[in-house]
Amino acid sequence: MKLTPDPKQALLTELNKCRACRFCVDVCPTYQVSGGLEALSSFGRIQIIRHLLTGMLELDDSLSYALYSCLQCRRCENTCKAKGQALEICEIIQQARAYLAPDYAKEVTNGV
Amino acid sequence: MASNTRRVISQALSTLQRNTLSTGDPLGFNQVYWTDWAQGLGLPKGGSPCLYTGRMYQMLPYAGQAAKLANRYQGWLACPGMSQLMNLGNRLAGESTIRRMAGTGGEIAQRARRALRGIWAGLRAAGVGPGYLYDAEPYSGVLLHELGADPGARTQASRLAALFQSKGIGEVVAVDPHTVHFLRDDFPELLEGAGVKLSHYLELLAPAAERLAPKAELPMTEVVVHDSCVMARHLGIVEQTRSVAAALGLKVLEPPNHGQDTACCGGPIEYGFEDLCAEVSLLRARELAGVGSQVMVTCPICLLNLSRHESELGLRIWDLGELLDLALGGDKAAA
Repeated sequence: MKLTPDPKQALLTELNKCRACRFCVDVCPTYQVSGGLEALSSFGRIQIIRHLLTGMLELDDSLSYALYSCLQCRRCENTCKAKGQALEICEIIQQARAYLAPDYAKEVTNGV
Repeated sequence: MASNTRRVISQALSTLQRNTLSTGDPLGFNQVYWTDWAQGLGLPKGGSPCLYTGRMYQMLPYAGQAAKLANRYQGWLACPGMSQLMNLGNRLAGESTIRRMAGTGGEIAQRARRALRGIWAGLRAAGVGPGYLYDAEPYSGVLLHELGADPGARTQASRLAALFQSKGIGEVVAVDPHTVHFLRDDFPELLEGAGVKLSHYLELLAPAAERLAPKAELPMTEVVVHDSCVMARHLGIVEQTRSVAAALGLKVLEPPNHGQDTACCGGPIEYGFEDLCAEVSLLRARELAGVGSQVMVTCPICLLNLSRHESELGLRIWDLGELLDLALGGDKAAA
């Protein structure tokens, strides 16, 4: 997935390919160990990203937790591929980290 | 969930980036710690093909301690001024503190050392005979990329590509799947532009598996194979692992969720999500323990995370490199 020249639009275009079948939810390891918290599943994370991109949500501590606790293991992508969509879910999450939180890798200040 | 997750992630990322870009090492260490494994092996300095460790195995004892330290103090980040204080503390005493906590590195350091020596012994038996850059070997920047800090990751990977080019190294053999995926798939233009071909060691060992006849008996006859996520799903290396294990005389046992459908060890989130990481790795370790007690992995991150459950579940986690070392007599071969 190439994000240039418009990373936000590229991410939204990818996210719009999701048919919300939710088959990827059950195979996500963080979802499994969280006792079924959908925000910690692959599908939950891409919904969060979608709403962050459209301005419906703001990146706070809880949403940062969801975004950064993805293992990037791509197990969800196997399921997505098997269901005929083949979204690069982990790539979307990784690119969203870079796009939505570019300041995270900068020097920490009390204003963060 | 942590109430200061943004600060925790920001602190981890900024520390990692500052360390990597200022010292060339993700831990911020100035003292060389990544060459001990090669002592006495007589690897030629430089040359092509070149073995590239990316320091991933060598940093295991320190990475574990650094993550422990980071998780211990993450609650303090909510206090005003604490992040600056921690940055200052990291600059002044980070290396000595982590080194003191790690001590001599313990068993994981021995395993990592043995794994690298075994990988070298395997490559030598396969006729590859790589050189090594010793203390000039840089870190790749892979951890920055995995956390979404691509500008810093690209800078470090560019330095690496430029170094290979300047030394006339056209063929590189890497030892861990994360580094290979990062350099070959995420930033392919950097190594390609420098005229460097990158392989994972299993891609070279598997076609030459018949040359890996064991010289010594292994302490087991069968192993449960845990596929690394990056190895199986990103690099597509599944059968190669099994053919090398079979060449060593091992019967491969497949756990639930194997090959392309493997389950994660939890390692990638250890830096800031210790509890979640432990639960994910325990889930996977239980799956493996249900099939057998001798488990084989091919990734340093899996080795570190799954080995934490050894005593609890009666497991022994082996890196394939360790088994190569035992079977091919890496230490004896060097003597």
